[in-house]
Amino acid sequence: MAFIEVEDLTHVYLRGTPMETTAVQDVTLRIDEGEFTVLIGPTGSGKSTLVQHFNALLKPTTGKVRVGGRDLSDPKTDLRAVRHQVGLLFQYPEYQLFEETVDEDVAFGPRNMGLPADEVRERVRNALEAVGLDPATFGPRSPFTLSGGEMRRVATAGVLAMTPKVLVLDEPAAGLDPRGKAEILGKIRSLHDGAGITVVLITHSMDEAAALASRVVVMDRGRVVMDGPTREIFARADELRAIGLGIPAVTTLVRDLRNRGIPVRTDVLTFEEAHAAIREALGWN
Amino acid sequence: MELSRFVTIGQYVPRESPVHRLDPRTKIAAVTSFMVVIFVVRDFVGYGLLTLFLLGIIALARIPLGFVLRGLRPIVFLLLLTVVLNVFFSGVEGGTVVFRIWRFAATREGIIRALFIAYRLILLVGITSLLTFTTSPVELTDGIERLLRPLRRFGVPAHELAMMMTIALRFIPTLLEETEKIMKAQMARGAVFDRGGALRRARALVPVLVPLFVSAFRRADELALAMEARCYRGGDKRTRMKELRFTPRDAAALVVTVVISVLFAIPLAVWQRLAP
Repeated sequence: MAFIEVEDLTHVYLRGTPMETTAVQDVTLRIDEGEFTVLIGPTGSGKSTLVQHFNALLKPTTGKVRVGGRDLSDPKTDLRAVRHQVGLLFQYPEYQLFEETVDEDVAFGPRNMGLPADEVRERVRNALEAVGLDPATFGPRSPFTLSGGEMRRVATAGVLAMTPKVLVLDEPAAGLDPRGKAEILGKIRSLHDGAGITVVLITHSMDEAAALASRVVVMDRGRVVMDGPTREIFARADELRAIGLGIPAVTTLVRDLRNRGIPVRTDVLTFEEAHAAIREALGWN
Repeated sequence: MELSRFVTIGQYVPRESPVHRLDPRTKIAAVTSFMVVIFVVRDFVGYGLLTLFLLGIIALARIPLGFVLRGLRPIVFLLLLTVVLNVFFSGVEGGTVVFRIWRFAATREGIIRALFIAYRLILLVGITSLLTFTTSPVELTDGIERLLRPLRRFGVPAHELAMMMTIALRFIPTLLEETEKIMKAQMARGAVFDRGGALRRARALVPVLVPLFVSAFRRADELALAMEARCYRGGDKRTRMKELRFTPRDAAALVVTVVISVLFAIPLAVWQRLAP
């Protein structure tokens, strides 16, 4: 069942001023419960603008957005309830921390939901554990004394503590070192696989997209230009390159091998698949 | 949730127009002379002519009129207050009483005067916002720096003042954007800014103000570092990439404005007396 339905969405910034720009144009998109969707596209293609409609932070200039069957442009829809269901983590979320302690900051969301104090405490602990921070050591510390990667994880916990059904993440791994990247993406994946959370993830890394997503949506200049299963999308390498994107490193590798005459399958997305495909082509099995 | 939509005053609107191409010093001088006239003019004809002149420049600058008018929105309250206070407390003695509220009488003369003063404010905001719409902040501060330069002899740090202004102006849109982003991030976590009494609303701003200050300090630090890394020093020996150039076009624009200003400043009665 589609949880988020976007219909003919167009969003124009600063309408009626000399700086008017159309960020999203005629986008129709359905995101099913339990899906892991990755949204890719060049800078300025409208990805961030699009996802801000999923929890009504932005209102469509024209078109409709429905979340869980509720029309977000209907004045009777409780937008706060929608925001509790669709958790959105912005780019560089470490800059939104403000409380005196990590515990208090993570508790901000659940408290706004009006939950009782012991429930809030419970959720804070679970959320910190989910992002790999020990609640006992990190909880009482000031968020401003943490490293960048730790701050990002606290901010992520702040969204997770609201236990959303859908988690929307805008480049959660940008600017982290390889280990930090692997950790945060691993956590997101286990939230999806384990807790069954629907995930929409924006990224510039084709490798991340290939490793995580079951479905890839490609945007270019405000429009959705491709939408389909990950393997199918990354088979269209030339089209992706034409809009300034690429394909995962391992996919590039096997395609190069094939161009040099090694009869290897090219529909691989992960290191393991590439490994198997190359062995098969060389007859090493 | 587009803050820059509501704050048009002080914004720069890049366009290709004769007004945009003028030297910033010309524009500052022209605006100053126009502002003086606004205070000198005392009759309807004068204000009519000033309005026409202003509309002409707006058209020449290719700025939509609606955009200029939107800049008046923040001062609507000030305008209303000015009118009300001036109608009742203008100090105009005598005159025809139009209506009374309790002990305060509104006279015909008082009302006209109040409207004049309000209209003066509108013209002032109009002409000054036209200056910022057509002049990039960098040009504007360059212009101010050059105009202040003679005052250095009396210890006015012209360059430093101009640099501070440039940086402040440069960061207004950045901080607005940042505010918007932080507000959205906190709204995504269930924060509500537009409900409750004054105290509750003020408290709701803490999650916005703290990150905003933190990031403003961080930006200031980074900027200082970047400037030092490029060996920035204020002072005499600095050269500039773009020298300001006073062209014949600037001279013409300035002469036209000053002449028009002087002509407009002469009251209608004087003209009538001059006529044979």
